[in-house]
Amino acid sequence: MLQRAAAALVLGAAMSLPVFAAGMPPAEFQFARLAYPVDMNSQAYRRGARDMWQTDWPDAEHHLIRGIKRLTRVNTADEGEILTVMDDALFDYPWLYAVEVGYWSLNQVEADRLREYLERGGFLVVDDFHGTFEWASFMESMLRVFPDRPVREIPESDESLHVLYDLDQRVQIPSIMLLRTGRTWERDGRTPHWRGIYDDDGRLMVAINFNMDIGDAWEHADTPSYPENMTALAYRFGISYIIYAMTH
Amino acid sequence: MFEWLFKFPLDVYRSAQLDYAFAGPSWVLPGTFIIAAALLAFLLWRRGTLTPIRRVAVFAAQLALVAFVLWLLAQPELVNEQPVAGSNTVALVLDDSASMAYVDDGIDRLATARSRLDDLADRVEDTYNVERALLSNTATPVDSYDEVSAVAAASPLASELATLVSQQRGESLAAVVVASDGLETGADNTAALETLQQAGVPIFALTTGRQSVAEDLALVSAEVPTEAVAGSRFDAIVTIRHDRGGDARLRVLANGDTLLAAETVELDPARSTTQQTVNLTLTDTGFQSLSFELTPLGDEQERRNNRLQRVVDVPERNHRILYFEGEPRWEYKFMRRAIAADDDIVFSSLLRVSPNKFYRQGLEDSTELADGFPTDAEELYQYDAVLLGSVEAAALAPAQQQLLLDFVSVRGGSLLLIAGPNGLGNGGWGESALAPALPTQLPAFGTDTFRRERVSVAPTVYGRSLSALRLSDDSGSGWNDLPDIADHQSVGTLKPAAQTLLSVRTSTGDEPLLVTQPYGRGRSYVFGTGGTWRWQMQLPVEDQRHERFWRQLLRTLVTAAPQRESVRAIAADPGLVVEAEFLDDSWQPRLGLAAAVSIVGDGGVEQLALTPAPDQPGVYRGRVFGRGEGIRYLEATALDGDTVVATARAAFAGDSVAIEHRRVRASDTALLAIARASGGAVLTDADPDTLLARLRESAAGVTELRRQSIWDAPAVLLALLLLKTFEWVVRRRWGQI
Repeated sequence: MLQRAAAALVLGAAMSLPVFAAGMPPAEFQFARLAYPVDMNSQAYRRGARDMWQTDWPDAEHHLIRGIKRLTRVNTADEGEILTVMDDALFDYPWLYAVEVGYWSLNQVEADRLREYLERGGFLVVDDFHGTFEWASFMESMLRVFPDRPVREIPESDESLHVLYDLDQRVQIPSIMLLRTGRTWERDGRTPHWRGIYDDDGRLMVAINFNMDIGDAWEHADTPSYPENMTALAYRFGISYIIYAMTH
Repeated sequence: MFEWLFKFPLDVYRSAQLDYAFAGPSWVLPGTFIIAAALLAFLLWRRGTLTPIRRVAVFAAQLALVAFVLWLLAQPELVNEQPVAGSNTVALVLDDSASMAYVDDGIDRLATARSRLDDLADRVEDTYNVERALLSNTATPVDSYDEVSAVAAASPLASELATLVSQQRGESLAAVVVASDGLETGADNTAALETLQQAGVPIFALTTGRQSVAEDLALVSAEVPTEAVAGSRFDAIVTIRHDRGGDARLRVLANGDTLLAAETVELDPARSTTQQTVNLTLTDTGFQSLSFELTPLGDEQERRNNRLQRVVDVPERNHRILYFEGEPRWEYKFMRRAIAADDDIVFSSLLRVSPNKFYRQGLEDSTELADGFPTDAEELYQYDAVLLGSVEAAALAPAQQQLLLDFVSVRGGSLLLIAGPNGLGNGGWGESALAPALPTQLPAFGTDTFRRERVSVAPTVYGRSLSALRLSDDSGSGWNDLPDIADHQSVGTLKPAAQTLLSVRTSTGDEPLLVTQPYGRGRSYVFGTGGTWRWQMQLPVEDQRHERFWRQLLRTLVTAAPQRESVRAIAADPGLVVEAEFLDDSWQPRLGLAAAVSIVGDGGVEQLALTPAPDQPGVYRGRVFGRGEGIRYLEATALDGDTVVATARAAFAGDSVAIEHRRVRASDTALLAIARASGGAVLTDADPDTLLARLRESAAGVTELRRQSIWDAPAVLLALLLLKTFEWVVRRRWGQI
């Protein structure tokens, strides 16, 4: 609790964000956003990238939650939750979403805890990071979590892509930057990758949306100029990850 | 004392009629009484020194004395029938079974019994013809008891005594005296006792041996399930007979050499039996022979009763479960993961993921559940257990609800209802066609009792005794430090046959959480939470208690469900009854089949034709005489014409040790029943004279009416003296001698 309180204090003070008190989720499923730390010695931190975990918050989950309620039978909480890796309540939320993970920096204690969370049955979706540099940064922490587990491309036949929809469209879902630049990619991340880390029984436990931004597609579901078909596809990916996590 | 006072035993008074030998006119004695009363009244009236109350008291005492004397003058007699000397036979039967060889505190049972019978024979030979017999497997007439052997493994006392009485009635049998330790090996003595009652020949039993044998431990029973899933835990309930406290060592071996369990059993000195539940796990498939063995005590004479053999079938077939869930939820996910490693269970699930879309998992093939929840018995009855999650009753048509009810009652399947926002009472299951099968009266539809709050779970006393709910192998049951569950829901009020296995501690007190009851051939469960997944997420990966809970519970569900074809052997006296049941795909009886069973044992193969049981359609029955020893295998076959349409296999443990050797304690239970039915008595410590008197009272055989006066009994004189003494003492105190 002390760790959680400290994290809440730091994060809340730094970002004027509410960090909710722990308790059982008010519904079977609650969208849980991971508030991860950024390395204070990193160039990104010095550039001001200190609260990247809250990118797209709260509209992304606000929109997606309405979609989940409309399109599935999942008993879903109306609002999302924010958790740190060291939060006592972490294990009451078996589904986590982390955005801009090209900036995250997990120390070994946090990495060990995230590994334990995933091996017990938790599920992590990471999103909105692009190009070679952010991949390397992401993997630096992920290798602390799973030094030995390979990151693999999710094959088209994988059950996670067919649990509710047949997600056979490998289309790069762009960020809102598309409207200004006309490009679907960022940095050197031209090719989208749906990657994953699997457990010993072949179950996906980390879904890695690399070189795409499905969070933006959720967030801008009500932005008239953002492509509706991209939002629809992003909804499908998001819902599929949730259904998969609740069935496997 | 009674006999000294009244000349004859109490039983003589009970069996005889009272009569009077007085030969004079019938008015003489009443007339004398009236005159005496008048004279007494006159004399007391003339003595005016007494107060009226005292006069009445003296008058009453003197009148009683007069009445008593007149009663004696009437010469009261006891009248009963007694055997005519020299015309009747007494059969002296010596129990010659193996248990009579037991030595109690240095005293040989057989020698003691023989001595008592020989002594009796010497005394009655002048009056009766004496016939001797030995009783073991049968009652055999003998010339002398020199032929005793005490090796026979049976002593069906009632049936053989009934046979003996029936055979010797033509020889004016007046009575039977049997000397025995009372160990009855016959199973059903109803007919034999009726025969003895109708024969009217009294049987007197002379018991021998100790009823408490402290130096002996005996395995009375070992109850095991007929079937178990490979690798799953199950309970064996062992009962030990003892006449002492302390500890006993119990071992369980599989197939003679693999140690499954070794436990120390604390014997309760205040009780004669102690029950111990042993948790066992069998990993190999096929029929597994289990030996339950008690380490003998140092001075234990009879060690054959320290061992019992049983058979458990660990079938190679997969058990099947259908889980119907109304919404994606963590309980569904983590239950699936818990059971995933269990190769013996096919866990098929039907999950409603969107308002009009179902997701199927764990299928045997792509056609399974393709049309949703089964609509006919043939499809549903393939499963051994059905789980219903957070899904409203209205999701199933009334016919499907009725089918589920039949699944439990007719198919014998197991049903588990799991809590959820749309489960149990919230889902309207309490008002559904399935409601009669459920162990509780669920809260009414429209009353939301589902709560997302953490609560702790604990097994009840009964639940704690079940291996299915043991979450650890050590002495603790594994429940103490479990994290709270994520939610709970009221299961309602328990029905009369319901048993609570788990309870939950809520803000309003303890409530039942897991409740079960049998219904028809099957069993139903209601589980008031969908939040055990929290155990998995809150405990370290290495902690397997969540997985173990679900594996054990689901294995319990599936192994309880019977198969369509089955065969079993039931102990029946004499021998065994073999029953085979053949049902069709809809679990309806298959009639008109030609059924037979092969019984394979160490002694070879025995073929037995089975005939349809008139009381149970689909059941075919036959009887074999003799239960055999060791493991015996049954293979039942059903033919429709020349075509084999069904087969079933089973195995059972024959009597490796005869009942005779299992019991060493003398008992008078069977002898009392025999004595009561025949009009005799159990005479444990009676002296020969008493026994002779009882024999003479027998009305069986050739009898004559015998009149025996009682006016000269010592009690009569004492009564006279007491009456006069009483009057004298009273009058002396009044000073009115």
